[in-house]
Amino acid sequence: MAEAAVLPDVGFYFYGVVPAGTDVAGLHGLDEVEVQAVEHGGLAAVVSTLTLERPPGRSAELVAHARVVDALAEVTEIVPAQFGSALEHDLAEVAAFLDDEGEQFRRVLARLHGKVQLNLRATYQADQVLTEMVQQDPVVSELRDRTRHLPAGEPHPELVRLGEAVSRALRRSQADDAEWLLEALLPHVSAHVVRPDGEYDVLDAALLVERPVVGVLEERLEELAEVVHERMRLRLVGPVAPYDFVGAQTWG
Amino acid sequence: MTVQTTSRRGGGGYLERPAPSGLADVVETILDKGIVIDAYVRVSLVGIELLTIDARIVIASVDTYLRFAEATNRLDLYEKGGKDLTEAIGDLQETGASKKVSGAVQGVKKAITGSSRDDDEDEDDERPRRRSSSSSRRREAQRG
Repeated sequence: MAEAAVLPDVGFYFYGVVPAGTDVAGLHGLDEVEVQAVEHGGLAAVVSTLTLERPPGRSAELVAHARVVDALAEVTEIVPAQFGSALEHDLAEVAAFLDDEGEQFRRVLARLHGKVQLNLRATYQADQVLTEMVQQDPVVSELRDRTRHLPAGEPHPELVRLGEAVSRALRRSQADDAEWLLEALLPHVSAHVVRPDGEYDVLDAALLVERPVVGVLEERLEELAEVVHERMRLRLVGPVAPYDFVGAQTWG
Repeated sequence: MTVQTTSRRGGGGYLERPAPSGLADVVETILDKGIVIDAYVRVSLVGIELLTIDARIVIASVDTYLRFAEATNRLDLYEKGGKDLTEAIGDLQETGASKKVSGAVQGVKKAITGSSRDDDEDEDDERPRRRSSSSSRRREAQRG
């Protein structure tokens, strides 16, 4: 509280919770400010000081948050905080919070121990997949023949029907392909979260993987990518912090 | 933005392994994820609205249908010139809808998809971004 009185405008940006004893030396967070670990009860909240009255921010802040959290995830398990969380007053609140939620933090950290998150996205090679549809789906093929010489820019009803037919066919193959991919991967994965698909996405998934298995998973994915490369691109990002595996509920 | 692709296996890997340093990847990975804590003030630090990517387009609107129709009609199925698509189609019909397309059409496919594996790296960065007019809002103090 005293700190708040002296520096009303300074708070603490909150990156996440790690096991006590984690080395944060040399890490710089938002505004290039050095990161500190506030230890309490076997846990440590990772924070850095922050001017609370700020101009509208920049992407640099988002990148800084990710940099700190991912650097920690490389060396230990972490429960990442949602981007933009800051503590307004003083560090006493941090200790109180670690006390109140200690049990839950310890449980989640134990579950994440030795694991990392990888983000996998499989996307269709649109032209390839559309070509297949024209070749294989008589409805698509016929509607295409009837609409392809229509003047551009006019939303003809048959164009909508063509689009609908394509969309239906696309969803069918998305479901099949996503299932096929996941089945091939799940033996190497501890947990996974599938996110909603974009237009030409086959699968967008967060995978929680044991560290020693990451290489195996990469090799498996490389094999799969080679098999499907005409129709799909497979893209694997990470390891990153386990953002998708700490629950969506509000804590505290 | 630099998106750097590394292949752990050396040589021409098919699996794309970009370093998660690009803004698009960061946004996708962390935005709206992680624990939310009631006791904490949420500071609207970044004008998050600038970064909100409208990545998920529901496949159900007329707009989407028209886009699909346009993409389908744009296909150069019967034309020659560099792309050898007719050959590719012949091969495709043989392999049918099989997901596990073998390497049989690999050579032809390289002609079609060839450079796109490299050139499309930035595609993700170019997805539509939504801008909200409320970016002047400096702090959102939501306490629980």
